[in-house]
Order: sequence, then C-alpha cells, then structure tokens
Amino acid sequence: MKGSKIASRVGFFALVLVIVSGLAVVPANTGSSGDDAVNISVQSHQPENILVGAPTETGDVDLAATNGSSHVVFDLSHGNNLDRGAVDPLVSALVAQDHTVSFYAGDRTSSINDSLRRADAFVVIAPQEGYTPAERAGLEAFTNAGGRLLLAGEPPSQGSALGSIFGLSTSMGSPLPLNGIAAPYGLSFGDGYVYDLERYDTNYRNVYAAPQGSFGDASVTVHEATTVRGGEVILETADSATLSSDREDGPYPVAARSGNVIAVGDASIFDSEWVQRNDNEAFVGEVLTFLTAADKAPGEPAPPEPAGPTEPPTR
Amino acid sequence: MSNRIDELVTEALQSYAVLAVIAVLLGAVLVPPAIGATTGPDGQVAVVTIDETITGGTAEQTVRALDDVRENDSIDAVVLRVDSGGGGVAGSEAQYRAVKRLAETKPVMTSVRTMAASGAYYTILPSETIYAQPSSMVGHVGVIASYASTDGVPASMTSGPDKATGATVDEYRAQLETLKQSFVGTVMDERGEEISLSRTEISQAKIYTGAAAVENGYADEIGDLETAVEAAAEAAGLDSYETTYRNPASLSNILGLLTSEGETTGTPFHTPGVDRVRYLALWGEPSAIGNSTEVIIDEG
Repeated sequence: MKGSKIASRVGFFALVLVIVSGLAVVPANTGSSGDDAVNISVQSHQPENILVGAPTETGDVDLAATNGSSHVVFDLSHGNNLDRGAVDPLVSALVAQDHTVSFYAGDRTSSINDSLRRADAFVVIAPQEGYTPAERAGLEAFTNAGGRLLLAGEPPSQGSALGSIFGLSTSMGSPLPLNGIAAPYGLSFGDGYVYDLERYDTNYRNVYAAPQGSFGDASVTVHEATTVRGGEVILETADSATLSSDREDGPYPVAARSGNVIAVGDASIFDSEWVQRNDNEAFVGEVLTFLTAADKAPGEPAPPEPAGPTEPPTR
Repeated sequence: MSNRIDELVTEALQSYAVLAVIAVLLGAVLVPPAIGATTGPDGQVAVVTIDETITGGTAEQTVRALDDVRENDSIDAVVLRVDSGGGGVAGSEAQYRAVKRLAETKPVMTSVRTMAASGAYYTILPSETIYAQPSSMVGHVGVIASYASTDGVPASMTSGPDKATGATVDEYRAQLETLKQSFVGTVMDERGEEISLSRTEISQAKIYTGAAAVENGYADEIGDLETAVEAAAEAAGLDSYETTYRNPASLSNILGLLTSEGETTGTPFHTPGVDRVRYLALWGEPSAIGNSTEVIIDEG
C-alpha cells in the first residue's frame, strides 16, 4: 500500500476517533442549558390575595342639643401635645351648637383656676407637664361644682420606627401628668398600649373598641391607646386585643367615666386624623354631649385662701 | 513468505468501514475513563453565600448568581449559606422568587449560620430543608415602615399633593399591611404543615433560636453547612461530588468599603439629601432611619 493511502486511512481513523471522543466529552462540559424560562406562581404575591386599601373616613362630629350654652376650655398650658388645628372638628361641632370654645395657654395675669371659673367644661389632652397641687385642687373644686372634665392621654413613647415616624398623632405624651389629676377620681392611665393581631383596622395598633352604656353603639377605632382603670367603663376593646406591657389578652377598658370626669386612653381619637375613622365621630359626639351637659354653679371654683409657699408640680 | 492472517489484516485496515468501527470502539473504551480522570466526581454542589444586609444592589447580584446556578447544567444541587438580618422588602422578594425558580429545577438546601432573619428568612423559604444551628436566630417575619421626615421638599414646590410624600399616612399604613400579608402568607404557604405557629403568631414577628425554630417549624433540622451540602448531594442522587462556592454580593461589599472614603453612614439604606418612605424586612432598625433612604434600585 502506498504511503498516501496509508496516510489517508490514518487521517480518517483519527478523525472518527476525535468525533467520537468529542461527542462523549462535550455534554460533560456544557455549562448553560440556555433553557432559563422557569415560571413560578406565588399566590401570596398576587394583588387579589394581599392588597389592602386605605379606609374611607366620613361623618361629622355631632352632639346633642342642650338647653343652654356651655363654655369649653382646652388646656394648652402644660406642654400639651395638642395642635389647635387638629381639634377643629370638635371646635366646629361645639360652636355649631352655640357653645363657646377657648384655649388656655397660661399667662402671668391669670391662673388656670381663673379659667376654670369661667368654664363649664375643661379639656386636658396629652399634657407633658405636671399640675401643681393648687391646680389639682382647683380641678377638683371645679368638678365638685358641676364642671365636667375630659382627660385624654397616650401611652408612653413606644420607641419604634413606626411610632416615631408617623408622628402625627402617636406618642403624644406620657400618661404620668394625667395620672396626677385622674387619681382623685379613682381613675388611672396605663403604661402600655393595646394592639390586636386578629381583628384590627389596617394596622395592628389600630384596635376596634365598643362604647358602653349611654355612650352609643358605634364601632370605634382607637390608635395606640392605653388602658384606663377605675370608674365606669365607657369604651372597651375587643377581647382579642392584647396589652403590650404584659402580653395578656383583653378586653381592655380604654375610656371610663367617674362622676363628672371622663378619661380616654387615646388622645388621637380627638385629632382630625382619627376623628372620622370608623364611627369615631359618633363616640366623640357622645363625649362632647357629656361635656356640654355640665350644670356648674357660676363662678366656681371660688378663689382659694392665700396659702404658703408654692409647692412644686406633682406628677 | 506472506502469512494469510497478515494479508487479511492488511486488507481490512485498508477498508474505511473497518477503520471507522475500530475508531468508534476505541473512543468508547478510552474516552470515559479520560473524562472521569479530568472531572472526577459525579456532580457538583454549589454553595451560594448570602451574608449581607439585603439592598437592591446586593439582591440584584444574588438573583443573577442564583439564575446562573439554575441554568448551569453542571451544577446538580445548591446550598444557600445564610447569615443575614434581612434588608429591603423588594430585594428580599426578588431573592425569594429567584430561589423559588431555582428550587423548581434542582434541590436547594439552606444552612443558617448566625441568623436568617426577616428578609433573609423570606429568601430561603423555598428551600427543601432549612438547617439551623442551635444558636442561630431564625424568623422575625414582618415589615418595618419608615417614613420620610416632614422637613423634606416643601409641599409648595411639588406638582401634586402627594408628590413629596408619595401617599397619605393612611395609604402608607395600608401598604405596610399589604406587605405584611404577603410576607406572612408566603411563610404559611411555603412552610405548610411544617409550621406549628398560627398566622397570628407569625404576625408577632418574633425571632427564634435555631433550636426553637426546628420545634415550631420555621426550620427543619439542626445542622451545619456540611450537613446541608451532603443533603443536597443526596437529593441530587450524587455518590460523589465536588463543592463550589459563590458569594455574589461580596464584590459590592468590598466596593462599598472602598468607596465609603472613611465615612460611616451607619446604614446601607442611604441616599443623601433624599427623604422617602422605605419598607424594610430587617432585624433591627437602621441607625439613620429618619434621615436616609434605601439604595435606589428596589424602591424605584
């Protein structure tokens, strides 16, 4: 056999061997398949399963008509975390019924007790500073004379990102200054907030509560409310609510009445941000009706007898 | 004197057909051992590390790496080595979906080192088995909403009432609830009968030790990385395997250190000069939460 024939056959043999080897090797070293289409279905990502809408807020604060006109004074003299504009719905409702509304910011020429003498109802929302013994005595004399008092507070700062950032109506203050003036009436504010992980209004800190007794049958939403102990319960959470401080299940009282005094563990319910939430305006209307039903003796409380040195505020 | 056999052989070797048959047979005999000598094991287990705070940028790299692993036919099984407290919700969701796609094609196991919290736990939910160490921290299912400061862009300088803030407070609360529903729902769906906690208990957003997580179903078994790798190989039917390692977000971490110029922002969620709403699936609060924003990509 000639050399050229041998060479051609050797070349052919080598070619077949290389092809066979190649076919065997290539699949083992193939990287990407190129088939990258993998369709997944995640039910918990579908809008129809998870989308939550913002609640609608409608309704007006309405209070029952009374025989006469009352003078309602809002306290602003104790570092109250209260914006006058935020209580516009309340002011409008009161004025619409021919009541008078004023704000006491404190001045050098008159004391809070001077304001109390002109007032039929006094509203204390989220004070940051304590009341002096003289002021507390004045408030007691005021309610004893038939004046009506609304105390509204919030739990201590929750210290969370959510609470600090929402800002509008959260963490409005410590209940400690309120407890100083609520105690003589057998009322006290708690130090935790109520939440509900089962039934809630958009967020677990927006808890459903039901008025009790003569304060209506509306469905109320309280926002980061604290508990109110003592007196007659007028607003109570659902039993699925939990108290943050001890993680015990409810129901919890978040508003109570003691004589001429109402204590509400949620200052934000009187804020324009929350007053129209759920049926809140109905409950707030009942509270205003209570305030304007005062039957206070004119000029009370009487000026106190001159006393010794001024005592420091008490929390 | 010529031998008859030699003549037949010589004649046969002149036939192309005979040569082809011999070449095929030779190739079949010689090549497989040669392949075995070069590739060694039966297959490959890829370990993908997720040990960073999840931002849009890190998530993008992690998702790309997971997709590469999924499309690579030489990789038979995957282990996620996780040590993260979570991060941005959008980035966590993207990683979850990438792991979900991956788990559709090959076995995926997870080894939790120190923690798989919040968004990191979200990421590993499609894993076939979650291995945790007794001291690992697992769970923390929930979302943190942080809101822009009101001293940002003046409302009078915007084209619409919500242009500065993006939505009303009520609408943000609703968005927060939507994200929570999605996260909790995903946990319920993925863990299925494994989990003994109720939806309400999951919503508490607690974090558990690895030991407790195995008991309540947040994780499956106590084990370390080696346990997870062996389980992945077994699930892929590999008698022998090699293990390769990937850390897709490490480059961004290094770049982040190089570009920080010695300044410490205290948080990876930082866009100087911009205040806006952020949703975080994170264990702990970013230290500059009131004055910063998550990096751009995932909240786009």
